[in-house]
Amino acid sequence: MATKSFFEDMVIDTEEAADRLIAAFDEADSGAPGIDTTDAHKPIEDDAEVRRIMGW
Amino acid sequence: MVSMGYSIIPLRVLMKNDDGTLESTLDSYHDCIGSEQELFLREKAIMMEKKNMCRTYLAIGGRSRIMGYFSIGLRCMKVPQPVDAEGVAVKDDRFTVRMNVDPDSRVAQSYLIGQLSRSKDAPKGFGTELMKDAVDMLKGANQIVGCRLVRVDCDDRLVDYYSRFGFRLIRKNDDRDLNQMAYILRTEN
Repeated sequence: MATKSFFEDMVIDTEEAADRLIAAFDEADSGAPGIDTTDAHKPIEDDAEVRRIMGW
Repeated sequence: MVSMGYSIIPLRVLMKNDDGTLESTLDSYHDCIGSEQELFLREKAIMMEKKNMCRTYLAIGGRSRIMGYFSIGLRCMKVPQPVDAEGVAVKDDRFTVRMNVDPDSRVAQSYLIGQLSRSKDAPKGFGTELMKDAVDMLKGANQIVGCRLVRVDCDDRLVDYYSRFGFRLIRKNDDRDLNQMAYILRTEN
């Protein structure tokens, strides 16, 4: 990954790119499993808990 | 399968609670592959956080070590109006039925995972845990504001890695040094 990504847009400027993007939507909508996030961590927002974790 | 305890803490919350050691904590980070991810955390992350350009989330493990991090933001995506041989606009609803493409500007939004980095001290496979955490967060954003498209940009070495998560190569960027890949969030509606 690159920091420059934050400053670049994605332009669907060719038929091939358009077809690939449509295929990505079709795959997602076909019922193909996505990334399993059932055990994902939720961000900790509580100040006291954050200071405890950081040892501050 | 990585099994270990860690906490995901937003950088903005760390900045708010900083006891004066946050900068040195970020300086001590070492990525498992390259220096760009280290430089981003040391030199860009706080500035970009203050400018609301993206949000960075750190995975904090035992002894308050940074095990990895990811940075997510929003970027535009442009879908030029197709034209026929005479240059006349052709009706094309392949995108407008799936995305919020503005009919005049032909611009839509996408989420961007601009950084995803595993520490050299974190076990192999920890990047998968970070990806799950990042995508879970974007699923939450989708529930609030919509948008299903998640983009990552990577060099050639990492195309297979992101393909395993379901990202699909769409195109090279204009400089042709990065592969722009897309993942479509699964939604219930």
